[in-house]
Amino acid sequence: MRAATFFLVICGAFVCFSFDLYVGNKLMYSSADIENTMSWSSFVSFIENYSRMMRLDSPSTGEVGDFQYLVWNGHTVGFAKDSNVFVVDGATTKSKVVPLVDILSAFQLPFIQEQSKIVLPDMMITKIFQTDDIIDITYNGSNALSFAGRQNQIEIISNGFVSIDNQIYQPGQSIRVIPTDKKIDQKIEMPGLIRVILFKETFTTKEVVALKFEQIMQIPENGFLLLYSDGDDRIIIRSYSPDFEGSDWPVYAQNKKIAQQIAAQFNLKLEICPLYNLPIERLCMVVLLSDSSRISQIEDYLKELLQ
Amino acid sequence: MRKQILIFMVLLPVVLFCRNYTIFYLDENLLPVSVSLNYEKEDVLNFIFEKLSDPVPGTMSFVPKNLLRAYFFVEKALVIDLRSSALLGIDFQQERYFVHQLLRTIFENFKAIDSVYITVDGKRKDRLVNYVDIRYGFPRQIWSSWPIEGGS
Repeated sequence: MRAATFFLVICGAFVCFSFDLYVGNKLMYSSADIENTMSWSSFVSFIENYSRMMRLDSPSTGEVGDFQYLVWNGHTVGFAKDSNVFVVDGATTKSKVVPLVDILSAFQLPFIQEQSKIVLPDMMITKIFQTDDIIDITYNGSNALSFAGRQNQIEIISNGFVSIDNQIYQPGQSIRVIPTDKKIDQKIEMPGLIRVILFKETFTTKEVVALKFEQIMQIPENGFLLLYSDGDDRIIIRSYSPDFEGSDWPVYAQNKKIAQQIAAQFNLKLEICPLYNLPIERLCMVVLLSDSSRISQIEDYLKELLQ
Repeated sequence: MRKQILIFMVLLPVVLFCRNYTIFYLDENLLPVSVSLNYEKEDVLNFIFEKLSDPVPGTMSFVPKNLLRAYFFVEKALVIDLRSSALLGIDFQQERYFVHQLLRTIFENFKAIDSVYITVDGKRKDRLVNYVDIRYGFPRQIWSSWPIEGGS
């Protein structure tokens, strides 16, 4: 009985004083220290790891005598081991350990504080920017977003612990709703940037201009340009280029969607290659066919798609 | 035992400094065939061009020999300057597959490169030979996988 009581007391003490530090769902630090505190060396190593994980500037550290300091995000924290003095941006407090909550606040890091747990975001959105056909999201950390297209809106949903404007969104929470009559066509991910390409399902052109690839002299101004020639049953569409900084992506996305549908319907290969005769930022493709009589069927199917 | 140690000592630098590079050739159906090769020197791009023009048995390549004139890196872009004489006489299909083979191989081996620009004989040109537009950069996203899909 006595042993059981002793065990319960010890367990209780652990629950009361233990402290876990998470980045998203990832446990980064766990100890039986006084709630929400950690040793100086653990703190320094955590900040170094966190800045690396989030692709933020690394902290600088140093020491003068027994005074150790860390400079990060425009703020300085320091700790004098012998005198147990702790400094946050010039303000001193007597403490043997790092008061994490004070420091995170000083560093202007958003966090969620629960009983014996602190959770930092694993994604920090710095900006959501929308133009006509593109939504750009710049961020630090890892991509923890999903997108749901609903009628006349696109919802950005958190899949992790995502911060924006100092607020943290937990998994499943809606971060933002963007009103638009367009749909999501593609999501392109680069380190620190998610670019969502939107398109309107109704195509701007409904007219199809079919021309023999070899005989093209002057490209007509309007209509979907369907170039064709003899070949090995494939469709070729133009790729986009970094030189256009995204302005050619919506047309590329529409071209690819139409080409995929035609390729599936007529069992053709789909090739992406910037052919000179394919005009830039224009709905167009080249179809190479082993049986040239199929072009009229393809033209009819394309007209149906554009309707 | 002494002999084994000697062999080990000789092979150690080779193992330590060799790096693996992936070269894309084509099979008889024009599907990509990747081959992994070791190379320990610094001039990797010349090595890649040399290997691309020399397909392993059972494969073919549309990359001709003596093609690369020069190359340079500009931030995250790679500019390659090609010799027009080496590209003479290639047809529509060869011109496209040459571009796919080359870009697929470059993006596979140079992970820090986001785009590739092609110049010919030291000058910017509109077309590589007759068909492929080389006025603009080629993005990693397209050629980080084989840019031809579907069909039978």
